Amino acid sequence: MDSDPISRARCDLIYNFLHLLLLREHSRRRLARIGAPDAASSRLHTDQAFPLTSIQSTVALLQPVIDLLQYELLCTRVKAEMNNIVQILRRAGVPVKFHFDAVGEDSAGVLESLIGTGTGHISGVTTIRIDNRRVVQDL
Amino acid sequence: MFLERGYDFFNQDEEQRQAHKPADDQGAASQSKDTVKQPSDGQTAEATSPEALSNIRLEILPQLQYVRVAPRLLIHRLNLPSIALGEMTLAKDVLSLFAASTAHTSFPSAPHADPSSVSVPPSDLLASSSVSQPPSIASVQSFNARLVAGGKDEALRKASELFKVATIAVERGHDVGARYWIDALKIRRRNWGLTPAPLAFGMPTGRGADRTTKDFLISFGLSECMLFPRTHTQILIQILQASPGFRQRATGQLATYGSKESIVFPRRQRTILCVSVMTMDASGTQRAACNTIANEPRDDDPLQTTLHEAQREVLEQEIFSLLIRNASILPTSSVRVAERLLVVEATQDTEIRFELVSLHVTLPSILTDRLAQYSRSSTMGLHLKRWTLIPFREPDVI
Repeated sequence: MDSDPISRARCDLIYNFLHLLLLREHSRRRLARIGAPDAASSRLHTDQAFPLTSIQSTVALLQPVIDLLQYELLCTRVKAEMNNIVQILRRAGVPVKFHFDAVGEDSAGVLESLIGTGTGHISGVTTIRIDNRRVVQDL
Repeated sequence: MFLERGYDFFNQDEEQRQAHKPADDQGAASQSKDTVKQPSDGQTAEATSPEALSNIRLEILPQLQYVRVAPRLLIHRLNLPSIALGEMTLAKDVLSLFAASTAHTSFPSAPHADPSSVSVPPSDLLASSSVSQPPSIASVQSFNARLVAGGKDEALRKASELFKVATIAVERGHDVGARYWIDALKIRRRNWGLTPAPLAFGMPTGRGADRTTKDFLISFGLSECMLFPRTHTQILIQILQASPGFRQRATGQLATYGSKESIVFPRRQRTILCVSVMTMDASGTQRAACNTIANEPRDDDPLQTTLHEAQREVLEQEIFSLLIRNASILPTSSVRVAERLLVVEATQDTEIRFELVSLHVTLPSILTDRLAQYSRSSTMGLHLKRWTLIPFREPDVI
């Protein structure tokens, strides 16, 4: 068994994240039941004469997890590529500053975007400053 | 003799007999006066005067007193038959003497008028009363006594045993009841939801029904486990969603008499959710990791630990059902679904497994097993793997 602490922490994170998503789903159901305006606004686009289908009425539990995993993979790949570039440039003698921030928000912002009313997307900033002038930026 | 003097003649007190006899004497005197008035048979009436009769009576009375006591002695001293026999012969002698004297002194013209003029009692009357039981042997007596004592002893022992058993039963019942309420109070103090359980079908609910039934139900599920249908469309939604009634599953009952555990979970399945991520490096080595399941008791109280455990299980099952429902609408990833396993290919080299495993299986063994499966399947290449269903058969845990 691989006892990589990072991987295990990732699994624990997913496990607890699923609980949070379940709680969010439950609060959404309750709001829909008591007819709160927040829940009503979320279903404004649906016709009131037809009930929500089962697909629409359930909040995605799996999708955020997979999004996060894919984002992690994306970050590692982007970072690897840019690191490659930075290494080449440095070998060529160009002074390069490389800054990579996978998650731009603070923890409260991440939680808000994932569990709260946010879009569910997190974003980061990476900056390569070549010769201390030009900026290659990835959002 | 008994017909004339009454059956209680021997039991009469001396005063009664004294009071009775003068009356009789007076009656006799009046009779004698009557006979005196009748000159036809008045000569022989002078032969026995009242004075002479009283003299005879005074002479006999002490002996008669002894005779009166003798039958009692006979009754009470059955075990001493020789003494009784002696007393009876003495009484017989005295009586015969008494009868002979009265027969001698009475005159035949008025035998019914004179109280002391009794005919001679038949001798076989007293002879029959002297018959006694044959004395039993001393050893048999002691044996009988021992039997009686032993029987009483055994009966007493059985009765005490009965009382002891009853005491134990009552005490146990009391203990169980006390433990029930203590558990209920503990659970209530930790703010778990206690609701009265629905009565069993057919139980009386009327006025005289037993309302003190112990029927606490602990519901530890989330509050919105199941939408309560209000309209037909909502019922339809529930059917479409196939809501498995997690609220109903998330109930436990305080155990009543006859079970060792203090809380009974009728619908518990004893599973645990295992989230594992398998990644493959660029070099081709697989890595697998699984979440560390916090199995250590969070609370000192085993009651709370059990409840937390059951709650965790229900939450995980609900999560899993939602995951499965989500898996059908995933746009970008391929998913394999088994009854208790959900494998999602998140990225090219990453695979997430959500698995409900039995509590009895240790996690490292699962992980190595899955890792072997993963490596076997990953050798087939990505295109093949995407369409290959790994035959997965989870051992039945329910």
